[in-house]
Amino acid sequence: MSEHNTDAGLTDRLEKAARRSGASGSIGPMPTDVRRELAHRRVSVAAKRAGLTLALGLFISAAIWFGAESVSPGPDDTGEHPVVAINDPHLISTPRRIDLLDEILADPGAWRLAGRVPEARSMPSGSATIRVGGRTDLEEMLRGLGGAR
Amino acid sequence: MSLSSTNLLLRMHRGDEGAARALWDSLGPALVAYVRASRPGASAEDAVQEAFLSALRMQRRELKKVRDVRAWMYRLVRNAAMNQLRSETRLRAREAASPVPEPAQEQGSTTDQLWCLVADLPDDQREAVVLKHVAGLTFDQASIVLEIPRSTIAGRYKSAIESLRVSERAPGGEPERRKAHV
Repeated sequence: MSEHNTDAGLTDRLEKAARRSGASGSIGPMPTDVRRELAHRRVSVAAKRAGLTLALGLFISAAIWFGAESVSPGPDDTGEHPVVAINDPHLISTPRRIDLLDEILADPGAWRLAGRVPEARSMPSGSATIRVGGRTDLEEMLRGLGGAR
Repeated sequence: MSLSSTNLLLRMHRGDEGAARALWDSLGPALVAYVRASRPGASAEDAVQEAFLSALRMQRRELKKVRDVRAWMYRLVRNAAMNQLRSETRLRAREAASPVPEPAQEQGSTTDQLWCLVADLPDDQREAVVLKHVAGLTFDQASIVLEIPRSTIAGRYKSAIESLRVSERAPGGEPERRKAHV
């Protein structure tokens, strides 16, 4: 008993017993399930990277597209008046749009303006059609839209 | 390789087989031994495998919070072993299929007698001894595994050592206990 009855002796023997329990032994190869999950993780990470690249590509394409075509005249539903669709008020100050707005301002009664406006952002569709009654109304609205005039 | 770093864990989470193998080879044997010693009814290899799988299936942001990978893996393994034991159906099936592997023992060796006494300790005391001597964790790491204060672990360990000392002194105590476990 002598040495075994001291804490030091006891803990030493506990260490030995622990070693015998296999703590320092070896373990077999990683199980198939773990290797499969690792492969799944690799695919998932690659897919995520590809998704981010695709999303970035789409964003750039959309920016280019809207930058070029966000304002365009077209026939009214009734065919009587031209329609201007403003998809992004922040893009309204580009030269082409300014030209178009000049045209609108020259004869506001003949145009209907359709597009996204600040006041309409809370609407579910995110867009609204605004009937322009006169030059003053249109100017105010364009100012609200971020127009350069 | 520093197991205190989360880099290895994060690399494994990205699917890096080398990192996974490094973790598996360095932690696996001790994790298996820990489960065998602390949860004798559980399948140790299954618990370790389950712990690695759950680490792989976690969100990356969760893994980034891990400060002590070693202690954290012990916690995963412990939870896996406990879940296993809670599942009565699985447990019954396992008992019927194959007996739980026991560490090799030499009859009459004093270390084996001591290990039998450890097995007879109350669960919380036995776990404190196993975490310290089989897993080789500090009390701080053990507190991460068990999610209880360090002082509680230290108290349990102290009580366990005291119980073991008393049991060893008790006349005729060792053979009876050994007989029950051999």
